[in-house]
Amino acid sequence: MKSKNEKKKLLIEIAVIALAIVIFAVVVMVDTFKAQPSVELNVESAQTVLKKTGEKIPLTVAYTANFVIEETQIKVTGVEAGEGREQILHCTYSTIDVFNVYKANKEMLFNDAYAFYLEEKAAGNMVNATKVRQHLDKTITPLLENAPRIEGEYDVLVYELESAPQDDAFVVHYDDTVLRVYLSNEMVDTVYGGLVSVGKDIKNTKTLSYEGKTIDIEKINTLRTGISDCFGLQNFSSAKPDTSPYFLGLWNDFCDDFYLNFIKGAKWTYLAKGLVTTLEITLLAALFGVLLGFVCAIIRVTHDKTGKMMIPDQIVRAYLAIIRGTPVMIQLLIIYFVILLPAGVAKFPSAVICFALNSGAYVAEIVRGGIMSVDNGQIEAGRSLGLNYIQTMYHIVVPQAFKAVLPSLANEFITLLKESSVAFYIGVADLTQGGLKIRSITYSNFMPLIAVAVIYFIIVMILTKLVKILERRLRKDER
Amino acid sequence: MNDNVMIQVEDLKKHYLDGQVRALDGVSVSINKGDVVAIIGPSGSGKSTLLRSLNLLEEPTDGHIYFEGVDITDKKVNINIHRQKMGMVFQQFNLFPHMTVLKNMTLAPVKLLKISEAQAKERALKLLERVGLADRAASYPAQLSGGQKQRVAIMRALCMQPTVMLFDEPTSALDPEMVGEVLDVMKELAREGMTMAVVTHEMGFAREVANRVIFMENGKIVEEGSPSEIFDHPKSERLQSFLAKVL
Repeated sequence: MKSKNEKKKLLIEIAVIALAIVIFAVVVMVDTFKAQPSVELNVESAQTVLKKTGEKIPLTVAYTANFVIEETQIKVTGVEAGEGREQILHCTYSTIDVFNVYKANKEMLFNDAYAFYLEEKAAGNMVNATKVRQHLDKTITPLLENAPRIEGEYDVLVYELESAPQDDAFVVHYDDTVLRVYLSNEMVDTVYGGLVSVGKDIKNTKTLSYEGKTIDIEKINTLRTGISDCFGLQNFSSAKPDTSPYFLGLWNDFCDDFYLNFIKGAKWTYLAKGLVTTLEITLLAALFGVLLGFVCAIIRVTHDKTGKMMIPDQIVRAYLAIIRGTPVMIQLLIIYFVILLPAGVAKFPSAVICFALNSGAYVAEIVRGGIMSVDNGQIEAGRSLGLNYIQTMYHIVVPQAFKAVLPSLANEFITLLKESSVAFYIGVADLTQGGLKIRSITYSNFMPLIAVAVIYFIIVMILTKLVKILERRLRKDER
Repeated sequence: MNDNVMIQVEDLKKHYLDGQVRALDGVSVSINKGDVVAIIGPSGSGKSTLLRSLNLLEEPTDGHIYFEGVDITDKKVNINIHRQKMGMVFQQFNLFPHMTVLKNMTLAPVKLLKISEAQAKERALKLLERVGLADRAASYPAQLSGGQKQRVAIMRALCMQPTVMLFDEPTSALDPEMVGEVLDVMKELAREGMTMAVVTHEMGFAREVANRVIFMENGKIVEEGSPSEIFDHPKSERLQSFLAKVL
């Protein structure tokens, strides 16, 4: 009856793990699916979207620059799928060179505006920015109309939004979907012939030289605003606005992040390959560690029980003390950089050697405990039959000790798996290194680090489960 | 030395703590072929130490033990070869719990006597049949009763075809109703002419089966003789008081 109940419990536990894996897989699939855009733009539709965006830019740039925007021609030459639900529009532009017109006439403009300002003041009139602009428009408009054109290429990013944001700047409704067109300051500046740079320069101009004197104009805002206005300039931000509802936004960000960190460029292969390396290191190190541990344990026990093997015992004691008394990372660095690298040993075998030496010390103590727990009568029985010490150890004591310490050994294996994560310090491409590599490409912290943690966790959970099953089976055997 | 002598013990001493404790304090005894020697005495008298010294499970501090004419206390002697001919049975059975009954019995013969697995198996099964345990060959020790375990332990020792059997209180750890089945096996062995040395508290067995009885106290042999001499006409006061307590 009892074993039936245990079986039932075991089945439930396995089912829970399986369910967790299925849910994880589904989430991954949904994410991958969600990361695709629902409106796939082509050159023509992209042109429409961009035109709608272009219509919005003058609203924020203000009125007199209208003709700059009208004169600017933007053509979409190609569309490409970007990250997640993002699409990249390759464009060419042709526009008038506003910045060079400004640069060539800056001194004249400022002096003209200042002269007008002084004139009006002397006449006792109120001076405002509109008056300054109206005064300057007459000089600047013909200059802009005759300015040379500049041409070039640029890329525009288009995102798809789940719902319409409240602030509709840079957002375009197209084909029942809401698209956010992302234009950086630099991009707007380039496409509109340096409009933004002109605005920045006017803002940063604090003095002018008028009739040989340096005039501080920092406080005469009407002057600078008027000059700025005559280019039709206002400050506008083109930073990505986060305008979707909060949780939906989080979910979208999560999906985008997931896509960016794992799917795009098949970055998940870093984790997969890393995991294989981690498992290889752990398995090999555990194998050699267990062998080493058994040998050390037998030397220690033999010395304790018979007083023989003085020198090997002293060596083993020193080895155990050193390994158990220093951090594994320092051991790794010393073994690789001080000992094995000069000897021409590669990273992977170095890591295996280090972790085997490290694990061997802990296994030795575990196994020593196991051997000591075997009844002395077992040794006497073996010896009384005529078996020598080694035969007795090999056939009688060690198998019993091994059984007794198997769960502890399995736990040591789990510890080793986790400790092997420091292997990235010597550049072994293990699971941890895989996560860090993704992190260095995408600059994301959350996704790669959490993914690495989740993978370690799942493997440790599976191993823990196996250890429990093993323990149960071992207990059954001797009943 | 007499050809008939199997084990000759000369002035055997076993001291602990630099001689403060003297488990054996100059014991000399000889066991002849076919002898069944019962060693009795109060606990702490050194009877188990004497028995365990015979195959050097206890290393004596001083003295000599000759087994089949060879001084096995000599460091140059390979004791393992001589132990093969001296079967031993323990109070706590000491079966190997990770092996089946059959494997318990065949391990040493296969490794040491260089006989085949099949031969060893056949030999073991024959022995098991003799004690009515053939059907338990595939069982693990944990599945056996105490009496069955001890019978298997005896058979395990016999599998090596020893010339002498040493029993260290073979029935002390058994429930009373199981003592009989083990003693029966030992009696049969004695009848077949096996040389035996038995440390025991079973005075009935000693009287019935042994041809010689040794009474020990404080690491020394106090009295030695035939069962009737020891049990019916004890000379020393200490033996008399011991028998008064146990009989």
